[in-house]
Amino acid sequence: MKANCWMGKNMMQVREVPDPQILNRRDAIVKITSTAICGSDLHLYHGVVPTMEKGDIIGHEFMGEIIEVGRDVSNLVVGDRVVVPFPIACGHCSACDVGLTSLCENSNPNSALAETIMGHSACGIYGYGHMTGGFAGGQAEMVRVPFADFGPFKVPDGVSDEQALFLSDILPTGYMGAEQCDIKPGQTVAVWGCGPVGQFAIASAYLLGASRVIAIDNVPYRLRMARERAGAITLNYDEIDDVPAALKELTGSRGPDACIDCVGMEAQGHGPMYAVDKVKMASKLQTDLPFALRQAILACRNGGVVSIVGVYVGMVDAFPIGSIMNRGLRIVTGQTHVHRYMQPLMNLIQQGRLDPTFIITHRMSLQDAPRGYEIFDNKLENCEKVVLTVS
Amino acid sequence: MREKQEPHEGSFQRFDRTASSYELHEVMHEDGASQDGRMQHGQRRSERGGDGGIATALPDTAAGRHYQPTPLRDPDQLVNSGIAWFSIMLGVTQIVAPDVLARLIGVRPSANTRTIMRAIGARAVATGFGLLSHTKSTPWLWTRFAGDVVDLSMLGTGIGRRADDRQRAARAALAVGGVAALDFYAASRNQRTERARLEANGFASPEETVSGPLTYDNAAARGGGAEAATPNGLRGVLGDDAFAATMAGSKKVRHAVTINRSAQELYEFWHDFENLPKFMRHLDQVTTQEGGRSHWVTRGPGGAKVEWDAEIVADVPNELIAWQSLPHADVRNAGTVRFIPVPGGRGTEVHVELDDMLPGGSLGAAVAKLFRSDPRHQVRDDLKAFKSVMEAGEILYANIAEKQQAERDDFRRAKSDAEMGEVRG
Repeated sequence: MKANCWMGKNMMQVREVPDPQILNRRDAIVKITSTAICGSDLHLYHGVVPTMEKGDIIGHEFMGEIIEVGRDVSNLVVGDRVVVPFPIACGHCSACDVGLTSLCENSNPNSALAETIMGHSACGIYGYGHMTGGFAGGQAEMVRVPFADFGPFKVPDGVSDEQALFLSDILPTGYMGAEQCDIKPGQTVAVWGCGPVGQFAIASAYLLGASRVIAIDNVPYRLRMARERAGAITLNYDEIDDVPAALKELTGSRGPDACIDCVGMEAQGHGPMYAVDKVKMASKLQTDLPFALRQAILACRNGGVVSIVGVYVGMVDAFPIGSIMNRGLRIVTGQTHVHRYMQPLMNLIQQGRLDPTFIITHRMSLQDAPRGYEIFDNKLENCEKVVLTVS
Repeated sequence: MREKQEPHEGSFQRFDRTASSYELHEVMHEDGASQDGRMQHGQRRSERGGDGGIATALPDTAAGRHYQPTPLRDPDQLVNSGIAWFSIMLGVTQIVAPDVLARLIGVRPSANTRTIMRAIGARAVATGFGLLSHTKSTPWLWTRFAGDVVDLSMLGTGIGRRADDRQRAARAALAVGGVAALDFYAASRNQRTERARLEANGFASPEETVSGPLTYDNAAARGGGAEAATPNGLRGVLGDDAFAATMAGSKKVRHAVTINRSAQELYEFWHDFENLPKFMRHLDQVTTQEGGRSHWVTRGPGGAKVEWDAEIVADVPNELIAWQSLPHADVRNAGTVRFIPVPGGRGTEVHVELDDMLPGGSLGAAVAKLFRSDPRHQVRDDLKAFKSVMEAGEILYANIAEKQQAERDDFRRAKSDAEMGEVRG
């Protein structure tokens, strides 16, 4: 089959690879119909996520048709149309028992490696390096889905691929980013990053009762989308020296009640602090660049919530812990527990209260995936989201 | 416009100091211990502690105790045994070839030097064996240091007059001085460690320190026969002598994992030793026999079978299983597994202690090679696999390469398809 493979820094290549096989009894094989390039795939693309190996198949947002099931998969049959959550979860450990599926204790075969780096291991993830298991990803014609009796979500009739696809990651991720802020009606929420997750976080914050959502980015067309499609008040950090000061002004000096970081480890910005961060990244003094997160912390109101859903992988330097402690901030974060959001969010989609398709700007074939990365990464052609279709 | 802005309904709850609107969460323990019950608990503790005591709830038997991990490998021990062997070797040389050594240090051999040299040698051999005996190291090390000082002073008196004799003597003094410094360092380090251990326990009697798995003092978590599940449970079951015999000179590895299943389910699965190869990757097959005996098969490099018999030496339903190889076995090993329910229905802690295979002839050495460099990794991986089997019903392969690797593996290939299928799909 054909698959999009990571061949090194800024190098993707669609290659002929062996077809996936059933390896465990709870596996299924999915023939992919639609898959997407995630913002977090760009971290892989840039070579800043550790434990990637040349030839790894990328992709953790995908959906398609069941073409084979293992002996222990009784709830799926060949021909079922499913969308697959990016965290691999067994459904039976104590984390899965309480719905924290991204913390599954049985889905990362390389947990020892993750423990070395993070203290404890989290779940396995498709196509996201070997620290998260080294599973083949879904930017391919077919993919093996472990624990298929627990993960895949059957797509109801009448719902299109484009409506359902983002249930695999970014829609639940944006939603969880807002949900874990415990938003009360009337509150002001600030969202860093107007990529797809940021757009969904803005929309979710409104769904959860926020009266104002302020979005921060520097890409004009993304700010326009946040304004026009998601309803945010937008703020371009290229035009403003001091983002926390601007947020103070917008909130009567109080600061946003909740701040959501939808940027993650490769934040961009201006000023001497940002330059210092870049130097630290380049010299490997830190693995992650916490520029947006630092702003989110400093801007948040006293006793407010800082929600982190942008991806971080390692260590940061100059972390404002004094601001967090003395001002009683709450940090809430995590890889998304996708499984628990799929049905409720599908309900919203079917009721017409949420249309996740507004972010799609590019539709191309799997064959063109490398070009898709180039466009998405360089924000060419006003690119917000690339959906790859497999014929 | 309204004169007074009403808060959104149900959105903000106003905090009222006078009405005690903020309630402290009263924690009820799982066994339903009332306030009285918990007071009693506190009183019991205060009686033990002698003064005052704690009146709050301490649900864990380990609460208020000092945790002292039993060292798996004493870091001092390596230095000490190095010194011991050096001491013995030098001592033997001094006894066997006193003249050679005398010349080496610039002393003219005579009947007199021979006697002194042999006496020093005997002393060195004695302290070496003393150190190796693994009883208290500190006095032996100080004895060595005192000997070094005596040697140095004797060196000063016995030097010949020739220039190269003096040179040799200077070199010898430097060498002895170096050894003295090492002895001094080791002795004082040992003394410090011993004192620290004493001080750590100084405030607590031995029963107020804990080591190994911590148990929970919780009626709901305890299923009777709690004695065996306490720390040092194996000692309790086997008796002091048998315990000492099992563990003497052993190379222990320990690991623990929490599994989202009841202690009973886990105990029952483990108790059927024929299940062990399903998650202990180095094992080929285990067959159980009458009377708690079992026959274990693994494969050496090149596919040669290595077999031994073992027997269950302690068995407390749902709590503990201990086994060890039979005395005549080529391969010696012993293991204990404890199942400790976590309060609040949060699964079961599985604590495993393996007294790893000790070399028993060439077969034993071959077996030892099978294990990865760090036996702790093997126990960790095996317990992870046990958790996967019990929770997820299978051990997940990351990719085809990993499965193929497993299939190339001698031990796994040796397993029948049916057996593999049962666990691994």
